[in-house]
Amino acid sequence: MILILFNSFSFLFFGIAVLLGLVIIKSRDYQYLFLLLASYFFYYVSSGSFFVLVIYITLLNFYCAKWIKSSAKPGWRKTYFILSILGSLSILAFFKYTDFALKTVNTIGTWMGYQANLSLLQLILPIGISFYAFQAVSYVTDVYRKKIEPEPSLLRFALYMTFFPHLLAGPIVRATDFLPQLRSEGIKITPENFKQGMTRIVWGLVKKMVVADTIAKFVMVFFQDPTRFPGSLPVILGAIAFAIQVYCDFSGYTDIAIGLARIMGIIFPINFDKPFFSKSIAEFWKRWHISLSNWFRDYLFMPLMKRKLNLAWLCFSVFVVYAVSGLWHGAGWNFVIWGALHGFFLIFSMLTESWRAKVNTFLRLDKVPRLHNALRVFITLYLVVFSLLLFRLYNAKNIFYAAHKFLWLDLSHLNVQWQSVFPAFQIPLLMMLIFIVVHAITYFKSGMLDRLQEKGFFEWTMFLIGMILILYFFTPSESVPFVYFQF
Amino acid sequence: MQRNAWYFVLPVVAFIISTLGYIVFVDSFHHLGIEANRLEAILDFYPSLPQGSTLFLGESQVREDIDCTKIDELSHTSSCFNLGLAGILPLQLALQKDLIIQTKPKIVVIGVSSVFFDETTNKNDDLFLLLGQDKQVTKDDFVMGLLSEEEKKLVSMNFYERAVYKRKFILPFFVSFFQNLFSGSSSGQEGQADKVNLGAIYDFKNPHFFNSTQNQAELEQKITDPKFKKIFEIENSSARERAAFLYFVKGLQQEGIKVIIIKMPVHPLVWQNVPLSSQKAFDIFISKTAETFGAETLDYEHSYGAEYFNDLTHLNSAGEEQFTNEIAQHLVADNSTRGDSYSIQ
Repeated sequence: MILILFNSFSFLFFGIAVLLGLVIIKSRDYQYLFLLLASYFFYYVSSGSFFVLVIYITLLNFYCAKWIKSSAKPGWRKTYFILSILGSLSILAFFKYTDFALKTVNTIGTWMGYQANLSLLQLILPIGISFYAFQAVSYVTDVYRKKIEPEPSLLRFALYMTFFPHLLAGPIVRATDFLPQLRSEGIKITPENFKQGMTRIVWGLVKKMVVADTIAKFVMVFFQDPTRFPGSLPVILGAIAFAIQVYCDFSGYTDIAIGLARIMGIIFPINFDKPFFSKSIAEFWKRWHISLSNWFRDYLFMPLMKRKLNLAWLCFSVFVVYAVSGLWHGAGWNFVIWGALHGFFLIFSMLTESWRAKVNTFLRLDKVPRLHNALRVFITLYLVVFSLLLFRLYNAKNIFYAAHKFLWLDLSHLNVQWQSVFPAFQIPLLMMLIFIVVHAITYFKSGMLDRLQEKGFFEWTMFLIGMILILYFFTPSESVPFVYFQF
Repeated sequence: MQRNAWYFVLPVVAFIISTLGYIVFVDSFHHLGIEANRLEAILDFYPSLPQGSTLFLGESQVREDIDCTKIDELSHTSSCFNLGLAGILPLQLALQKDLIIQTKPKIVVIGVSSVFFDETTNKNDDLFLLLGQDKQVTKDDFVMGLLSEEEKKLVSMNFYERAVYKRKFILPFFVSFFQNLFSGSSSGQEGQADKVNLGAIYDFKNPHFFNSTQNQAELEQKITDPKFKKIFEIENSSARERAAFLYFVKGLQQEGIKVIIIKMPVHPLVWQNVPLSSQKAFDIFISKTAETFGAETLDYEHSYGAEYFNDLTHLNSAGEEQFTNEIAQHLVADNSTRGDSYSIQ
C-alpha cells in the first residue's frame, strides 16, 4: 500500500489529473462518477483492499436510509436504523478496538491472578475508518430523525461518503452540508473558487510541512523518554510543542481538504477556529476539531440528555461523551483518560461557575475584562496542554514523571534545564516562537486569509511565491505522517 | 481568455518563479557543514592534481596526523597531498575510485584504524549526496550493490532533487549565523565548528581542524565506555565497508597505482583496553588485504606514547612532526630503491 499524502508530489499529480478530468467532462453525472472513481482509486492506493469497507458502509447506509424512509411501521424503521448503526460501528469497533479489548482483558486477568494470555489479532486500522463510519452514522441518524430526506442517487451518496479530500482524516461533513451542493448544476471550477481553494491549500501545506514537521523533531525525542530531561522547563516546552504540532498538522490537513473541495466548488465547514485562544474548555471544543465536537454533541450528548434532565445526569453525560471522544482518538487507556479529563474539566467549570463569578467580583476582575480574558485563556491553555501530555505518552512511568513536573514546577538549575533543549532543539523552539507570533497576529487580525483571497493578480501571486519559497527553504528533510491518520 | 481565468495560470507562474529563485540561491549556497564543504573542495581539486602525486586518503586521523608540506620539503617535491576527511567511510572512498584513478597518482596512502570501518559514529550521509553530484563518481554494480536504498537515492539524485535536499542546511546555517552575530562571532559555520580554522577546508597540505587536548581522565572515561570502545573492535564494524575497502585497494592496484596502507597511531589507552582478539582480527584483515592485492603496509599503531596525542586517535603537533618524518623517510627510501627522484635532506 502506498499512501498518497496531501503533501507529496504524487498527490499533486493526482489532484491535477482529477481537476483536468472535471474540466473536460461536462455532464454532471459523469463528473460525479469520475470523481467517485478517482476517490476509490485514491483510497485503494492508500489502503489497498480495505476500500471494500468504504463500499460496504456506503451500500449499507444508503439502503438502510431508504428503507427507514419507506417503512410505515416504527418498529421496522428502528430495526433498519439499528442495523445500519451497528453495521457501521461494528466495523470500526472490530478494526480499532479488538486488540485494545483483548489487551485489557489480559491485564485485568493478570491482576486477578489468572493466566490471561489472549493472543492479539494485530489488526491494521483502515485509514480514515473513524471518519467515514461517523459520517455514515450521522447521515442515517438524520434520516431516522426525519431531519433530511434520504439521498435518492446512489452515485451522489457514494460520492458524499468517499469524496477524497475528506476521506482519510475528515472533516466529518454532514449530509445536510454536502449533498445539497451536489444537487446543483455540477462541478464548475471557477477562477474565484480556484483562487480561494489554492490560498487555503498553500496555507495548510505551510502549517503542516514547515511548522508541524519542524516541531515534530523535538516532540519525537522528548516524548520518547521525558525522564531524560531534567526539571519542568523541558516538560512544559515539550507539551506546548506537541500542542502546536498536533494543531498545525491537523488543521493544516483540514485546510488542504477544505481548499481542494473549494476548488471543485464544494464548501466544507471550518474545523478549527483559533482554539488556543479559547477562554474555557467548553469554548475550546467549539474551536478544536469542530466537526467531531458537533458530531458528539448531536449524536451522543443530545440523545443522552433526552433521557433525563437533571444536574447529575448532565455531569454523567458530559463525562461519557468526553471519555468516548477520547476513545475515538485512539485505542488506549491514555486516550480515554485524556477524554475523561476534559470531561472532568468541563463538569468542574459548570459546577463552580457561580463560585468563580464571586471570586472574579471579589478580585475585581470583571472591571478589567481584558486581563480577565487573558487569565481565562492562560488557564484553558494550561489545562489543554497538560492533558496533551496524557494523550501523547503511553507509558505510566513517563506520564507520572511528566505530569508531576508539569503540575509541580521544578525550576531549579534552570540553565541546566534550558541546556537540555537548547541548542539541540533550537530550530523547533524557534519555529514554536514564530508560530505563537503568527497565530496571535491571525487571531487579532482575523480574516487575514479571506482578505488575501480577495487580492488581485499581483498580491496573490506574491503570496503564492512567498508561501512556496517558505516551503522550499524551511521544510525539514524528514517528512512526518499526518498525526490524525492514526485515528 | 477571461481576465479572471489568469488565476488558473498564476500558481504555475508562482511555482516557476519561486523554484528558480530557490535554485539560484541554493546553487550559490555552500554552507553545508565543515566536512561536506571539504569533500566539495576535494572533488573540485581532483582535476587540478598533478600527475604522479602521492595522495593521503582516510579520515580525520590522516587529516590531522600528516603534514604534506613537510613531506614535500624533505623529499624536494611538491606532489604530496593530504585529502583526509573526517568521517569518510571506505564506501565513500570507493565511490571516488575512478576520480582518483583519473588524476594518475603515483602512490595512494590510505591511513586506517578499526574506526575507519565503523558506521555507528560520524556517518555522514550528506557526503553521498555530494559524491552523487560528480558525474565521474564510480557507480558500478558492485559499489551500488553495497549502498542502502537511501544512499542510492542520495547518490542518484537529479539536479532538482539535490537542490531540494540542500534545504536542510539553510535554516541551521542562518540560525547559527544570527546566534554568532549576536554573540560577536563572524559567521555561521564557525559556530558549528567551534574555533575551527575554516581555511583548513581548502588546505590539502597540512589541514588542521582540531586544536584541543583531552586529559588523561577524559580519555579513560571515553575508552571505558562500552559504546565507544566498540568502534575499535573490527568484528563490530560494517562488512560492506570492509568489502568497499578491498574493492578500492584492488581497483587502484589494477591501474598500476602503488597503494600503501598505514595502520595509524592510536593512543596506548586504546590498545590497552581493546581486546587482543579484536586487535589481531584487525591486523589479519589489513595484512590479508595487502597480501592479496600487493599493497604495502606500514604499522604505526603502537608506535607512539601518550605524550604524542591530543585525544585517543589524533596526534598532537610533536606527534605529527615525528610521524610525518617517519612516513617521509619511508617514502624516500622506498623510492630511492626503485630509482625514483625522492631524496631526503
